[in-house]
Amino acid sequence: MLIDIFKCKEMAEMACREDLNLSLIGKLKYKVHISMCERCKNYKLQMDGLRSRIKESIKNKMDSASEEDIKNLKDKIIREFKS
Amino acid sequence: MSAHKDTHFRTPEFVEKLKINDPESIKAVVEAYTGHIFKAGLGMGMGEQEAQEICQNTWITFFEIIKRFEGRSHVRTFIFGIFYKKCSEFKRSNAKFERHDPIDEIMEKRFLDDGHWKENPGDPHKYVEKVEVLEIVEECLEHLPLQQRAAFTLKIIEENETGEVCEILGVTHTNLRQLLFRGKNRLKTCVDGALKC
Repeated sequence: MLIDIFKCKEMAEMACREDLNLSLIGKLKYKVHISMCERCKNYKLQMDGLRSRIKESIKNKMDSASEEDIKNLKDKIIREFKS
Repeated sequence: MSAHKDTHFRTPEFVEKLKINDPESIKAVVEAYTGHIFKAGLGMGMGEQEAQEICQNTWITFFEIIKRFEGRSHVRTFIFGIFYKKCSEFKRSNAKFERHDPIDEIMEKRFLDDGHWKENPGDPHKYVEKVEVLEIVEECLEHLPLQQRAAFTLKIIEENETGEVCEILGVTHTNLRQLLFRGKNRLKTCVDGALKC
């Protein structure tokens, strides 16, 4: 091997990061590995799909709060702390 | 928390007003973050009633300890730090970062000694198709440790800066990476198990 590419184990960890701040060499090593390794490519795509689903699921829960409930809660808290 | 219109909350003048219980400042800060806290409670898997209680308890503690706030972080970070502790108390879960997690061993077993995969994770298109229609993700999320779920909510949903998430959860950048890695792989393992059934 001419260049020292990342191992699959390291790639799996990087696939789960939210901020992948790699150096130029790091980015190159990452791209080389993904282009060569079917298993890492599959894992990364699975994790990306799962991430979207997690986001959708938690967001739906958060958005289930009604504006009226939030307003009532704010009014209650403001009343309590102003008095 | 994505909107950063609340920059004046960071000023020492504003913090001082909060410390002397200035009604207008109280109103401004409560107006700005109550919705966020309530929604974050729901995002952490709580019911409406529980999320409202956590929200009120967060504000009670905030106004009790605001006099000790030194202003090194943003008021928002301070509030969400309290919120997260309240959630931990409520769920009776350990708020501290765990050095060991069973998922670490599960992941370890998926690799050969040379660091390469033992088995192919499988067809990603089929996987994503199945995950899209299954409610299993919601069920698996319910079993996620609080700190991992909080990391998801703060980082993936609220899209907070890494530094702010670390401050709220009281963890290092490396710990946060690990929380996300563990959380996502716990979910994947849980989903994989359900897909096999």
